[in-house]
Amino acid sequence: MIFKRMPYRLGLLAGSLLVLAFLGQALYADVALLDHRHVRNQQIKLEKLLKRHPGSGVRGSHNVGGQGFVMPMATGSEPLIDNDGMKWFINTNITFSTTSSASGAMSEAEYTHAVAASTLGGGTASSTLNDAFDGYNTLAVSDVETMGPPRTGSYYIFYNKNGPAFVEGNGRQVDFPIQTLWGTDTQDAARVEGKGPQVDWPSMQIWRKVFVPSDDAFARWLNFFKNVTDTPLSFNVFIANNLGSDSNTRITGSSNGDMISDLTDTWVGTMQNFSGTTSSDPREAHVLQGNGAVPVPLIVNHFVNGDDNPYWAYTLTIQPGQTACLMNFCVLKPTIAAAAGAAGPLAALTNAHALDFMTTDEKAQVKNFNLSSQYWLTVKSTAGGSTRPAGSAQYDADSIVRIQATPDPGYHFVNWTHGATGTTNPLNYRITGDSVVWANFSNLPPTVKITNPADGSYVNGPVTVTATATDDTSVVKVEFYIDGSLRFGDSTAPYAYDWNALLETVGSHAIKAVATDTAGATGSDQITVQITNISVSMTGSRQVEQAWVVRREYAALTVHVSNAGGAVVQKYVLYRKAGSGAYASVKELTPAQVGSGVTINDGPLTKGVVYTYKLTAFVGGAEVAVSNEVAI
Amino acid sequence: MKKRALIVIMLVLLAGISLAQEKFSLVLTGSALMPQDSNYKTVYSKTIFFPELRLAYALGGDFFVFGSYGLLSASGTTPIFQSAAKSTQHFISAGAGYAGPLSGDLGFEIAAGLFLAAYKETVEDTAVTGSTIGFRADAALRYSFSSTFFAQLGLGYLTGSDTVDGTSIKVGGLRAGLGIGYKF
Repeated sequence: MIFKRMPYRLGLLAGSLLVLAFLGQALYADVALLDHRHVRNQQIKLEKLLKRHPGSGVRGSHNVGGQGFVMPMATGSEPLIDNDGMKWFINTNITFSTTSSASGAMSEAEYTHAVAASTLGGGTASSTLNDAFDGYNTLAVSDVETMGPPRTGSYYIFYNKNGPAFVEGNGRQVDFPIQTLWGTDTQDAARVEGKGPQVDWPSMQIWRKVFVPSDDAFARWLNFFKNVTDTPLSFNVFIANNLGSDSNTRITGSSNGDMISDLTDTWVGTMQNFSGTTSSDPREAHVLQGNGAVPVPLIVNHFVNGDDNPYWAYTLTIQPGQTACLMNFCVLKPTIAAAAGAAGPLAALTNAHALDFMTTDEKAQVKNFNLSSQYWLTVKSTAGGSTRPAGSAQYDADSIVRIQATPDPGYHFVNWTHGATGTTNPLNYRITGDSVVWANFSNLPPTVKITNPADGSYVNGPVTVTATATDDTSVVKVEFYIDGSLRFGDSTAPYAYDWNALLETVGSHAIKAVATDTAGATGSDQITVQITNISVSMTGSRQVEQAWVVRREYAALTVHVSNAGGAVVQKYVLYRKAGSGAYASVKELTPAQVGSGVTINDGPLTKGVVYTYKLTAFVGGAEVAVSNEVAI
Repeated sequence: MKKRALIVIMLVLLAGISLAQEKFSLVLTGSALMPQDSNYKTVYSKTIFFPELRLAYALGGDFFVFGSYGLLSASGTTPIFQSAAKSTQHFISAGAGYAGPLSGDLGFEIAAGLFLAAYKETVEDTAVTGSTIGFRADAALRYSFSSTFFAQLGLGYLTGSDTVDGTSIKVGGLRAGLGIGYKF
């Protein structure tokens, strides 16, 4: 404060304070874990001094346009004067990495002329109010911290994109460069001072715009966040402040009409408490969010009497490709009532200039005011298909978007997830807010069918398990599993596995065939067989039974039976068919009658007719084994 | 051939009957016939009762001619399927012989001739019939009880064969029997 009263000693003091600044920076860098509030304050005082005396030769800027706008310089701040004569100093290229001196923050604001400032007694006194800020509206984000206050040495990343800003809005808005946050970016990792690189921070772009109208009296901050990843991002946004009122900071009111800041307040008023009957700082109103239920409300609203470092915060979730904006206003007035009176219309967005020089997209991107009539819809799809529309786009609230999912060849549409459910395609999606809809596709799996043995059949000894497999692309292989254990893989059709069931235990066994296509999708078929390991085979010949004169032909069949599994055979049945006719049972034999090597005669047979025989074994009423066919 | 033989036999008998007095004899013989066909023996028996009735006409000089009818009928089972089998053989024979004295009432005779065998075998629903001509030879000892009655103990052999479905079968066999006769 002393420097405000001693302009003629500026040159001498500037040189001395430069020395202090260098010392402060060195000390700050070397001892990051210490509280450097004193050093930082000295830096801020130095900035104030330099800004008020651009012709000092220490740093420079020049006035253009006659409206108090100063073209950006390599290092410095840009003063913009509103129509009340309040000159706002906007940091455009700050080299200090502190909570109150970041890019886009205000380093100071003061009247260019004396105003009728309110007094303790209810009157007014002419005064050139100044020293509104020591640092105002510093932007920080964190995906770790939730409560604040934002500070160096913790998991906060400050917006501090150095480099000359450019202006728009007829010179009334300072447009700050994009700062890309990336976990492995050493520059941004360095912002997490004292904590080392924050390697898990996702990629995101941040930029700011600060606007001071020439035909109204406020300052507006637009803080933009763009998700450049493929997944939604959720993080907390903090606004840190250092008011010029220092320890004399007092809450003068809030939108709720009380002297307490809470999450429902749209604005909070502060001032430097009266010293005697006057106060030399402007009366301030901080507009934090819009009226009513807003998409992104405050999660922290911290104003405390005696604390010149109020801060507030939001939780922001942005979809892939989406850009969101958090907007703040600040009003500086000669009286508490005037500040409160200006804050209300800004919160309600009834101030005619509140949204000046904002594009339609930017208005739709604002999340902490009821401004957006459009919402982002992001349509994504898994591999194997596409959607129309695709990607991110804004749509009018309550409008219907028809989303068509189209699978690629070899794939099929499965369902909608995330912001939508079901399988209806196309989907008529109603826009009710920012949302993401995923179309899920899946590769059509190959179809496989075990063709031998038959499901539920009995297996006796070696058997060739065969399967057919088809796919809309190509089948890479068919794998055969016995009781869940992979036994064999066949990459060429016909797919077969020579299974020696004699090596298996008697009883039920599962045979599974799994086909895999070129895209890795699999299809399977499973059957269950009963292994009895009863083997029946026959040989036979046509013989003649000679009576005396009468000769009758008959079949002499020699049976070979093995029962390796020890199953209890109920009976054997001999079947016969004549020519191409159907098999019919001709004999039932007990196990005692059918030993290995036993000959079974069947006849008489009609001459010239070929007869075919087979012998089957029954266990528990089921036909478990069938012999070879013998034609005689 | 078979027809001609049968005609010859009938003419001989008719000639004898018309020209002679007490020169005929009628002999009924019961024999045990041992078939010569092995399959026949397997299916039926190794010994079959064989009744035969013979009419003879004495020619001069103790020679005679004869005609006879015999029936060989048997039942049995087939070797493989044990099916019921039944067979019949009708023997119609004609021939000539010589009957001479030995001592007192004891005499002998020998004869030979041809026979026509008509046969049939039935196994379940299968029946095969046929006929064949065979040769027979007989010898017997004769004891005369009187001038008209006599008994004789004889042996004989009937042999013939035929081919059925390419398989040769045999008819007849060795016969041993006892008969009684009457001269008139």
